[in-house]
Amino acid sequence: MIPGIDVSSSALDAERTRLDVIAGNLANAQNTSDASGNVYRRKMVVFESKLNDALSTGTNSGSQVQVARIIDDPAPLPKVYMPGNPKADAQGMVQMPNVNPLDEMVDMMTASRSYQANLQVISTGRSMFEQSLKIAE
Amino acid sequence: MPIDGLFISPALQSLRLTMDESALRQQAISSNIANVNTPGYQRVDVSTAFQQAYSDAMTRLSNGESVDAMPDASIETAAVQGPARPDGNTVQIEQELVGMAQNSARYEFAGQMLTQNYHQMKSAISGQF
Repeated sequence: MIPGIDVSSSALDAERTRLDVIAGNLANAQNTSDASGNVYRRKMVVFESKLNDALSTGTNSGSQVQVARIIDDPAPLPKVYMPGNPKADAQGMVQMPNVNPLDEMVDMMTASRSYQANLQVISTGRSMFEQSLKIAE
Repeated sequence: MPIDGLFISPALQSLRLTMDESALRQQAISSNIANVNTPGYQRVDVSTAFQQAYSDAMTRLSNGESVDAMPDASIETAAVQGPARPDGNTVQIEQELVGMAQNSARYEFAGQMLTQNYHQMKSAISGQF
């Protein structure tokens, strides 16, 4: 009923997932041993448009967005000299996660701005709907 | 004049069409903003066939002529000015937000006018102001 609300709420979902992943990356920025004992790798979300069912019936309402998958960043892991660390190799080097807090911060800003933009769309759609209700007054 | 004639006056018809068109455009804009971070997403807009039919209908209505049936309201991939972003996405968020502000103002205007029209009609019928 409210124009575009399905699409916008799917985007809110997707951006929130992205924010969760960023939080996970920042929290694990120094984690050298994840659940399976490997060095933590930065996670990245991949967004994709969901093909709309309504497309086939001709009443196209735009495409929703969803998180297709969450992938590991293949960038090389930096090495840090930490001889005392139990994970250190013969030269005293330890592999650290490839999380760069700066990248995460920028991603976080983008995600939160996109979230705001979508909220704005929903509130505009809602006021349009309210306007149409007033016609019958 | 049959009573139906009251409700198909050119003014009412053009306001209704404007609201339809505006609601459809809001759908397109919400899709564009939702997909602003989707790689390869192509910006959508109200289909050119519908836009053409809409402006034709507006011209006819303002000349006091009647309007043929409108084509199906639909959204399609739109032409874009300027290059796509490196990820293949063609949405420019500023344009979409400005478009949304204009569009909702148009919708609100048409809605207000329609309300006014019906109020006047009611006043005329009941003889009360």
